Amino acid sequence: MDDNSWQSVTDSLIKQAMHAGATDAEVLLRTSTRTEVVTRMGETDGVLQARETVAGLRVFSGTRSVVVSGSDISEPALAALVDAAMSRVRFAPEDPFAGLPDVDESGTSTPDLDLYDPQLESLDIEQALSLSYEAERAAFGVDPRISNSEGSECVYGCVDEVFSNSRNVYRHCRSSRIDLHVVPLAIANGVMERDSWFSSKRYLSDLADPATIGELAAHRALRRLSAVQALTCKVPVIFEARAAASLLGDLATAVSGYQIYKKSSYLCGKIGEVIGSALLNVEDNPLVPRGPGSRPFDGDGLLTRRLPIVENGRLLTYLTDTYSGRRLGVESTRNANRNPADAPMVGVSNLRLRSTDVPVGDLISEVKNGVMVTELFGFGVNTTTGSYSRGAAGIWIENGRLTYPVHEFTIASTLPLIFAGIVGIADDAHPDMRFSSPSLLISEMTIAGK
Amino acid sequence: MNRFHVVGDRQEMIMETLMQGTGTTLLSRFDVSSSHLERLLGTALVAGADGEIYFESTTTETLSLEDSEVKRSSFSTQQGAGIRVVVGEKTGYAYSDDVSADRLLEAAKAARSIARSGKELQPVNVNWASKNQHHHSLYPVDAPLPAAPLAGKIELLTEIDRIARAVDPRIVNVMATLSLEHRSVLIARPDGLLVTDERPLLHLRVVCIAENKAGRQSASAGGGGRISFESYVGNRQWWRAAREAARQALVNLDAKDAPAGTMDVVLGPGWPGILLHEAIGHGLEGDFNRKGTSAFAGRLGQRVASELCTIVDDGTIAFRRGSLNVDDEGTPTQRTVLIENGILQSYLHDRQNARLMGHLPTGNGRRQSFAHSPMPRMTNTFMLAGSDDPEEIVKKTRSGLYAKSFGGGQVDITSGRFVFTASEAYLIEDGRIGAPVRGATLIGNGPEVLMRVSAVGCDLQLDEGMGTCGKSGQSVPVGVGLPTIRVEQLTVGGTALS
Repeated sequence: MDDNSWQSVTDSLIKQAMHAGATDAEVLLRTSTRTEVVTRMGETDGVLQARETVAGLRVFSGTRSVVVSGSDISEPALAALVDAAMSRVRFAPEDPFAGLPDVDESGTSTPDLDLYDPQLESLDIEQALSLSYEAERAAFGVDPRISNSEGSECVYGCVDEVFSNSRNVYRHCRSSRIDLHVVPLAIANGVMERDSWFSSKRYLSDLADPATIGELAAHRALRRLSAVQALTCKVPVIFEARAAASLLGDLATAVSGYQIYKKSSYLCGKIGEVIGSALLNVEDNPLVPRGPGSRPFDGDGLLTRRLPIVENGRLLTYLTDTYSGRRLGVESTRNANRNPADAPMVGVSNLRLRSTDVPVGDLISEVKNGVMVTELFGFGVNTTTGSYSRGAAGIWIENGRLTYPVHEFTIASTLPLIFAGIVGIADDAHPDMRFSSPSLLISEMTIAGK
Repeated sequence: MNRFHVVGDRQEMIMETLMQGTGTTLLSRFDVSSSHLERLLGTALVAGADGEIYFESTTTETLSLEDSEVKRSSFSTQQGAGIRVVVGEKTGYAYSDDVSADRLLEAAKAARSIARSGKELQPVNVNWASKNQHHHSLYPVDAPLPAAPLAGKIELLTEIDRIARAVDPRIVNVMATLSLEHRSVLIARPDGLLVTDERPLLHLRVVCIAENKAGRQSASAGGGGRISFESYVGNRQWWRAAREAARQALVNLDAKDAPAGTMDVVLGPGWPGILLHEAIGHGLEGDFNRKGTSAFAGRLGQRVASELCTIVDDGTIAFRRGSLNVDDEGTPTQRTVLIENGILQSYLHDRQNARLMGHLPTGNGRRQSFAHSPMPRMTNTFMLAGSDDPEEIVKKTRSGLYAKSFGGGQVDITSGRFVFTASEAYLIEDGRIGAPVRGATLIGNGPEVLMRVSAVGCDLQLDEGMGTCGKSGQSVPVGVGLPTIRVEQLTVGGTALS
């Protein structure tokens, strides 16, 4: 499909809806292709090929609104979609906050963020398979104790996202992505441990070397062997970069405009206040060229902007879309996330905790007795209350040195205390993650174990 | 071929009710494919290969209430087909939401491409009459759930809001989401099996926020199943969910910090069965065991739990959220005894892993949608009742934790380590249930934890029907269940050191 055919779909939906009595209408059309290849133990395990289309139509009738969506974009199906929307919108309750954005940003211009690699449109399955093989082979080559594997996976594809509304907005973004992910198992003395490493890029040529990915994954799995249960105590905790990124996810939830106006965030009423250590700086930047979460426009069709969220520990803003912004009496920060099948919600693009130039080794050497957490699991974070208790695995630190691996313990505290307790920030953020943080040293948390 | 048209007609009828007004019914498209179905199977499935064509049409309606009003409503229809080719350990999968004949043929070729293994393969001939289509009827459908009148659904949500707020003035906000889904599936296999299933699914989630001077707490409850909207309204489970979410949020207002350390834990009946799901259920899924990546691999016939424990996975319980008439490969569901008196009896299988391990499929091949390849998944997983009096179980626990309800859980099936988070828990002091605590996370090792079950109550309960299980990026609805049990020496991850 091309811009002409997409525009004919969006125009048709909007025209029909307006003709049927809608006061405003908005369409998000998404088409995508995706290929996944999985190899395991040097053999092809699976290949998946997919193409998807979904058209989401949001219609307004005054302050009433409804979203309908379908995967069929033939003319009769589009007419049926409009019918379904118009017959339902009558029953929708009035909501004075509902409506398209007030800002006038009509037009079609969108900045080019260099998100599309045409090579990924035509990448051969064999080529993807060989990337996948190579990553797993490299993992096996590291050590004989790497003797099983969950496999290696290469996923790539392209997405076209087209946004249009009845206020003369038409925007189109084409993007691509390739991910390579390998999960080796280290086995010794009847104990198995797994770990993983990955690379995720917009351009094929930016993808990390498969052998390096495999080797890193293998080393991560190997260092977990012979783990013991940690002892119950209170000690300093280093969140290794990947684990630290999950804290950014928790922060993003807590500053979402929806959680704020529903009074279900521990950060309600904290704008302008100190919510973390003076070292803490967080921003959302949708305009990073080739960034993993970059987007030129948000789910309300508004052109996106860089957004500082926390500066030297002080909370500057909540994240809002048009709706939650109105609920809170502020302008949208242009953080609408829109899935074609649902009304917009708030979401981030590239959320970054600012790095320093401190190597992670320096953070470790500051810890006399503590733990470096390499993996977190479970759902023990409550952003309403701020309580925090998650399952963890990691490496014990003694006298500034990594010693033996530990597992089967939880780390617990509260989000306010964790963010306030950041006493060290490293330089090792993984740039391929939408939530990206370097390793963080937290002054104290409760370890529950033996 | 005759058989297919019988199925096709039925499909057409249902689709017409579902998609009224769409002009092109799914079936008129299925019909195109019906004349091409054999050709598709013939193209995709070469001799020596297994697999299936899976057609699906899903209609979903979601209504959300907040601030005492239904603010969000969405309605979606999704249709598509997935074609899978399995040769030995290899899987080729292609899907498309464009079910036109050309596109499906393209998908069939893509799926087959994986079977190119050098040798010349012959297209299969399909004999439709060779398999009977007979399976359970666990959730007969009168009309698709989204077709029930909108006004009644809005009224239900408004009533839930009223009831939850009426519990206590400290309930400052109520959010309720009602999801109604109707899914029609058709599965055709090269062994001649051709089966359809009409699957309703109703789900309610209520979140209450309670506030006092000290702070704010939230709690959620919910439920549902494969039942009609009318019977759901009639059984008043929604009423319980509204009150339960409010009650739990209030309890947590007064709760103190959970303890940290190792202690005896009593799990209440019902939803705490999530322990079984995480601690052993995933570890018993056939794919992990065939690959040797599960902590339970190679342990059939061995003791993996105390002799008090008998655990089953049962996809055949009428109207339950985790139940299915047939799995997503067309195998009828069944009741599978996983652990009997502590001895590991069986894994959970789809067709591929069963074949590769020399076992029989157990009706556990499930997928999120046509966009996904099936894999072994749980249905309703629970421990059978024992003989202990639940009150005695608490009484005989000198000190520890009583966990009544849980949020989510997760497991690393390779190491067997699992974690799950209590949403309502109390200290046990001198055999009595004491003060409520919040923020308790339980962590343990799957193959070890059930060995330490020292009491099993006579009060088996299945959960209210709110579980969703995620694996490899695919979500499916599941059920869990548990009688009251005591687990000795489990690690509790709170913040309070004794």
